[in-house]
Amino acid sequence: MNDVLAIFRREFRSYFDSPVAYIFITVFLVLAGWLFYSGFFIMNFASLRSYFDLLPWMFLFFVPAVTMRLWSEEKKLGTMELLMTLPVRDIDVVIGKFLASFSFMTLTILLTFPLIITVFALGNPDSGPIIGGYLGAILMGGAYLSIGMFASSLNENQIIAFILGVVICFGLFMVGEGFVLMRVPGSWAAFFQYLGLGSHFRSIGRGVIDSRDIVYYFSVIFFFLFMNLRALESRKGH
Amino acid sequence: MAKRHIVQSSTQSVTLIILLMGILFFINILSYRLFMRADLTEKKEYTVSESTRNVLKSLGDIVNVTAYFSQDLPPYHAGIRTQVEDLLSEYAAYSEGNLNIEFVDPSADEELKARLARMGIPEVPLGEIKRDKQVISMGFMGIAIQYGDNGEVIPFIRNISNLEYDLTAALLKVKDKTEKIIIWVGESKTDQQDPEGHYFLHEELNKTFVVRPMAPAQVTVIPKRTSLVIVDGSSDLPDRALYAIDQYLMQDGKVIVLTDRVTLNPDQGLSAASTDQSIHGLLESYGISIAKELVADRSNAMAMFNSGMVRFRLPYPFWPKIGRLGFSPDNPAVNQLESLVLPWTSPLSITGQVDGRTVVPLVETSEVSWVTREPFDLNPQQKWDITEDDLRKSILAYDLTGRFISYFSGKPIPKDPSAPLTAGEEEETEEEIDSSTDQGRLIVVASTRFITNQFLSLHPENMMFLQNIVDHLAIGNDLIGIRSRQVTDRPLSFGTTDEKAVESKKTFHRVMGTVMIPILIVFFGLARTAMRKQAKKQREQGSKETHHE
Repeated sequence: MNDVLAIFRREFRSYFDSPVAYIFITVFLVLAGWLFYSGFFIMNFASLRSYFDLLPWMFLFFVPAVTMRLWSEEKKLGTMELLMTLPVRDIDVVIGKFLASFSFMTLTILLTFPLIITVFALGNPDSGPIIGGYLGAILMGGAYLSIGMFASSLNENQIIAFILGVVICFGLFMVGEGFVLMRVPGSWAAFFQYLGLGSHFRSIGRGVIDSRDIVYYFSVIFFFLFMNLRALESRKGH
Repeated sequence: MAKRHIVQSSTQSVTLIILLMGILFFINILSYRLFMRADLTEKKEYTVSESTRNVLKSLGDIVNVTAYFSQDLPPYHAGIRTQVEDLLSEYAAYSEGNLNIEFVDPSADEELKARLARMGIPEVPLGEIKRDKQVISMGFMGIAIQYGDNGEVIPFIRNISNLEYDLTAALLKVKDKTEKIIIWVGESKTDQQDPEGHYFLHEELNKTFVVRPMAPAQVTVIPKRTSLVIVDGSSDLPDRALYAIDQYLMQDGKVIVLTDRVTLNPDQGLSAASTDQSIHGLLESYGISIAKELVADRSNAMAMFNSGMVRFRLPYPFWPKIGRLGFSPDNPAVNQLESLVLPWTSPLSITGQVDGRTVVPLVETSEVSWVTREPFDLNPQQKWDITEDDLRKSILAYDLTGRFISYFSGKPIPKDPSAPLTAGEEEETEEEIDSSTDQGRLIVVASTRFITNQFLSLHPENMMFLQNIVDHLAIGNDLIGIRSRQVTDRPLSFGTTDEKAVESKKTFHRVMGTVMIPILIVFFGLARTAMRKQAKKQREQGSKETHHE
């Protein structure tokens, strides 16, 4: 546990030691705010729905950008071997890195709180979908992160890791969307919809915390962290 | 040897991954069947409502609910089946064992298909895409509710949002064998394409009631067993129709009157003039008058205008938009509503005697509302010449309950034109009722246009208002609790009428929400970098000094 904490601290601090974190947070918040406010006053509804509708698409590019350097940079700088020879278990390194990027992403999501101030100051919103939307965003972000981390562990080139992360996230997102569901046999539709990253986010985003959605996101996170671990071990084996 | 080790390790990896996938698959299947939900929405929109639970608890006997769904529905519709299953299982849980639920696939049973067609559950065409082509397949998506000899059907479930209302209404209907009849006094305009028609309204009301339209000239008597009379005041009523409505009310009837005091002239662009109609005299005798004025409000809906070739949308003060604060907080028919748009409406007021009746204002405009008088200028871009003193709330709907005195008391009874007297025949005397007991119910709404096809497609929340007051009078408040949760509109409020102040508030929030935190983050980053540099410098100096020593 101490090892996980040590790795977590090292990784979390490293985000703020480089300009990457500041650029990331700034671009994310400006883009989210700009897109949200451009429709908010025209729609005239006290709700964050338009912001949450954008999130799966914004995450598609932002989250792999956060994770692309997690393993690739270690490999490129040659610190991977050092990290792997330290007396810490691989699983602790994977969990520590995941928790660091998860905390960074959660912090970024929570920094959109001025939008909440706006809707409460100017209207009478239903707080259920707002709480659900943020919880869903954090869980969905966690799933995207685990996928991005796995993609980063496969390649030492950050650009390739980024593209791979985007492609896997996009695939797992689209599989549950209407565009794909319209084209699969009816008996498979419910399965594909369940598999999609976005349908569970929308379900929680209505303001309904459903154990099925939480189990799904934890399963995706667990699966890709496990794959990440196997990828590291196979590299060690070589 | 090394190669064998790698192969062994890879096989082990693949096995482990497959095993993990299997475990996760199993856990997800299990969680799909055994789940818990917490509905955080304010009005518990995704949980079976209190109203439905009360209806289910009071069933007292077995009611059979059969859902007819085809096995191979196109993907979108297959998703609806899952939601229907969830909802019906919740219904069963609250019914104390009185609800028998069954899912049946009628696709292969021709006899059953024919029976369903007779019951009113048709096989409907459903679109789907197969091999990049739009194809139409046929399927069943209906529900039948059976209690003894009484049956009700929901022919086709388009979406889940209205299903709780439809199901609970159907349960109430099968339990209560008496047919609930609404008499619609007004010209029958049931053409779906007619913007001024009432097709959508009648379609909705017919789900729960039997709506019988009666042209004003044909209204001579309203049977006592009628559940409710709705008077569409867009055309003038002959005296006999007024008498029939009055006498129905005197027998503790329930009446909704929709009326205008200003009529638009569609042939002359945007022009309007006040009108005197017989119904206004009837209402005045009950204590409600409608002024020859038009209400304007800063809280209003957008309207589309044509100017030659150009169409544009503008906020239109003559379409007042009622927000949450505009509904009576004590009346269950409206106190859960969030929005209503009443176009070209006039203010109502209490005049004369209302002894023996309670009079509750149901709907009122915002505080930043005013009235205009003849000649009316309906131009949306006119220069408004109003001061703070002109601003006042207007009441646009009243609910009256209690004892009503007949408008025709001491007056001759208008003749029934359908029974003309021939020479020598003796006039059959009708017995006139002078007053009701304390159970008369009357709701007056100062607009006829808000429930036309055109306005319902622009403002679906208007339907909710009308359905709620209809249910409130005709069947009590059993169903209102379900519908009022389907709130979609939570409008913004800037707390001021000054446009400059509104704009500056918008700019403040835009700046705060978009750039305030990023600026703070950049400052934080610069400060942190400066501190790190300082610390590094100090470390370097420290090490140099140590080196010199």
